[in-house]
Amino acid sequence: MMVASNDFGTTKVAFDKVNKFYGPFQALRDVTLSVTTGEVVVLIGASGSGKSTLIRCVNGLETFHSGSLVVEGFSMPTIKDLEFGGGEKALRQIRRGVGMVFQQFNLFPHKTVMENIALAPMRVRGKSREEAQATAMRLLERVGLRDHAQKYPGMLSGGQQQRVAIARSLAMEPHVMLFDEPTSALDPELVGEVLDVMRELRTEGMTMMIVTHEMAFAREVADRVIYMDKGAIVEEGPPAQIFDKPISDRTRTFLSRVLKH
Amino acid sequence: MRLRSTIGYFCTALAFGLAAAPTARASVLDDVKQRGVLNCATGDAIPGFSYLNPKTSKMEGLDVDLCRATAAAVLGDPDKVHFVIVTGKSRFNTVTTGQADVGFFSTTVYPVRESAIAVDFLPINFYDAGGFMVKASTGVETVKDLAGGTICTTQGTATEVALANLFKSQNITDIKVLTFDSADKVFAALGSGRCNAMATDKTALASWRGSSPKPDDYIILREGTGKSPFAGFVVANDSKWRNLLRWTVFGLFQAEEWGITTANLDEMKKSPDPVIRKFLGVEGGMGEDFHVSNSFMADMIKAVGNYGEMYDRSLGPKTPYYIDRTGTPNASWVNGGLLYSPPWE
Amino acid sequence: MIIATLHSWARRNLFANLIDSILSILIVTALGWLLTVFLRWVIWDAYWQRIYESLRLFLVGQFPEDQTWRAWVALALLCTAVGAVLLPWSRRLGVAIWLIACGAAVFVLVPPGLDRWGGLLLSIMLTVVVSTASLPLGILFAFGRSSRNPSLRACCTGYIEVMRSVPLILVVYWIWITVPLFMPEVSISSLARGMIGYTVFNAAYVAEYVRSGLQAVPRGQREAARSLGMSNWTISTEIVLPQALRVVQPALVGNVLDVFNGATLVFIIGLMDFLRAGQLILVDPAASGQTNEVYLFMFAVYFVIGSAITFGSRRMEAHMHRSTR
Repeated sequence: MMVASNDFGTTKVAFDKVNKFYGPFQALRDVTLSVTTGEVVVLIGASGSGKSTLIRCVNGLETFHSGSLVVEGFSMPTIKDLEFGGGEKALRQIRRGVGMVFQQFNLFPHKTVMENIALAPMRVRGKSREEAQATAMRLLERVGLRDHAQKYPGMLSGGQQQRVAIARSLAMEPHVMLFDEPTSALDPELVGEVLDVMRELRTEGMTMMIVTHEMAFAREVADRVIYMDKGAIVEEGPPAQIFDKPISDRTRTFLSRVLKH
Repeated sequence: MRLRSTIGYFCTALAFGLAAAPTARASVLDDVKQRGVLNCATGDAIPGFSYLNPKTSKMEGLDVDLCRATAAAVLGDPDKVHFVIVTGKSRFNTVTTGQADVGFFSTTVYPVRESAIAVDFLPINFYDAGGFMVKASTGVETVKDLAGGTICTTQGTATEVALANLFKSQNITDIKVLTFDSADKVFAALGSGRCNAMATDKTALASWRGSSPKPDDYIILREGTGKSPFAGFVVANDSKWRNLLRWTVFGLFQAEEWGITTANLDEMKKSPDPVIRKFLGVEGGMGEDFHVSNSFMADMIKAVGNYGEMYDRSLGPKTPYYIDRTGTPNASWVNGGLLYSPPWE
Repeated sequence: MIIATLHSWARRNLFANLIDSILSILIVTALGWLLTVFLRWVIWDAYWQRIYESLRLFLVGQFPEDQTWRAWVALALLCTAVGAVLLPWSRRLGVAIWLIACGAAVFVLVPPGLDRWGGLLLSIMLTVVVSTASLPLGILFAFGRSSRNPSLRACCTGYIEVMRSVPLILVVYWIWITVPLFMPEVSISSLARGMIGYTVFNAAYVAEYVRSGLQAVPRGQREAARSLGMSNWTISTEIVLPQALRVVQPALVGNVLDVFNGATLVFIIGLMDFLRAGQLILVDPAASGQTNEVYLFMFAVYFVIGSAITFGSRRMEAHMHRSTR
């Protein structure tokens, strides 16, 4: 197990003994984990194992009860901090540097693709409309959707929507990208185009935390794979180690189940 | 805890607001003069008294003219009046809260209205009485003949109370009273036979009968349900205002008695009679004593005429709501009626 | 060609089998007979003179005759406003034009005095002002009720529940009575007080519609916006509210119709709306025979305006669907 480092230059995300409960149910158990700059961490595990909860903590969509979480040098407020009205500022600081892509895309259906991408840079970063739209256009070109700028999300396929969602996150120039099962809601033939964009991000050196069920993709892009079960990190290591010679029996059972399919 | 203190704050603010609201105002008269417009509470659905005539889109009727007469006397201009349209339920409230300065709304004088509601009545300007109208073909002649039948009237009016008292005094028990929200429905119900009698003020009965295609089909019983004298009303305990308006109404009666009309007003100003000259403001300071212009009576008569002229305009033989004055309390006292002004010496 | 089409349509829909044929013949005959009787009454028997004479009162009440042009200008402005929100162009522009045109209409109508408004003019302006003013107020209360701040939430919830549990007529009357008590120095016309009372009442209903819309916006929308670092204000105004309003738009337009129909209750504070004008005709004994004519006329006018509002809401819904699909 690693210990949270104080070196913010290379450590982007540092969990230290984080615990989270939903009533009596413990969603995270003593999670300690750190992610360094440029690292791609893939989280695997059965549904309900806490991997989504874990990455949602990184940008404050989930709060936790004990332990500490430091993202880019900012300390994530705990439930208690937020209850007393504090921590909002730190939360916004953290979110500026962390992008997130969701399973259900969560594009804004009442705004065009262009507006979806340009809105946050204008409202949050205070960019001018021209600047934001130019950036948006560049990003759309990068995800191969230049011609769809004026369409509404409802007119696009799932894969296209997810690529727009990635572009939307990138428009905020994040230092860390979180992917919460980005391909789970896609038809199989559309998965590839999304994974291509993610591969490209990796080559550019983006720090990423990915929750996925695409084991082949995990093996390909991950610097480190983390297997979670019942809210705890069971095993972590390079993909070759996790996939080929896992130490834990639980990891082995899980992998044999998913890889058979 | 936080909620409780919020509510506490709110209640305190409310209490302060209410306490500050009825600030001691001098007299309604001062308000009216300062405002330059008289707010007069009246109705819009009582033909002959206070009616917004759909054909002309103008307010008309005896009560409306009384409002205009008051505006002419106080402000010198009968058009400086704003009609606050009220209902039977809101009329007193409107005056006691200062939203209207005076009310003329076919309102019957009752002791309870002066004792329990904070209003003072002006002199009675019209004598009405409750009455019953039946179909001539039914042969009904007295209220007793209606036993076992149905009497129809409108909701929330003085008639309802009067009916109950009448039945009690005559020991009639098996009579049903049915109320409708408007008089036209009552009249229609009488015509259709759903009601054996229509009970309301005799004036209203006369106009319904007179305007029906065959007036002879209906008769109005001689019996009545007591007295229904109409008077204007002002907020209580404001003598300055009440006295001025009281004498304004008296002035209308007096002008009729003397025969002063809109037409002969200028001539009458040359009258040698010192009382008339004082009345019309040619000499003396009567208006000033009331804190208005000395010519207040002349201004009023010039604008709306004397009581007789006002009556004829709204209820006279040329109107659809004709009610004969002769031999009724609504004649001037010199003709045997009850309209009487104290002397103006 | 047309006859052939009609023929085949009738064949298919009216006379498919014996029972259908009998039913069709019976219903068509009955409807035809009713229509004939009705039309004969409308054209020959009914006496429309009185309504024709009173048309002015029906339409504008006591609005001064030499100022009638103001009513026409206001009508043109209102048509512009309605057109602006119905045309399938930018919603933002439509709303802006609506606000400007309605504001201008009020501005044009005010000089003769609020107490001169009456008849249909009053009913329509009351509807326009009350529905326009209740929307922002309702939105505020809806957000207040979903707020995390307990005292704010309690206040908004209390307000909404109180207003929804008392009748309109009571609120309007109560505001009419109390406003002068709190502000004895300022004289506020009955109509303005009526508008305030009605808005205060209607905002509670709008708030509940909007709240149901807020709840219908998927949680992921807020999460996506939050993960982009947007402030609560931006999330509410840019992401959640527009989607919520889309969801509840049919209900909100239905509410405009409710406001229009409920506007008849303002007679309680002495205002003369369209329905009251009809009643004024009927209290005249000489016109008491024309009950049917007066009510039919009012029915027809209410029906036409009500259908127009319904039609408008359908169009808005339709082009809203087009713009997102």
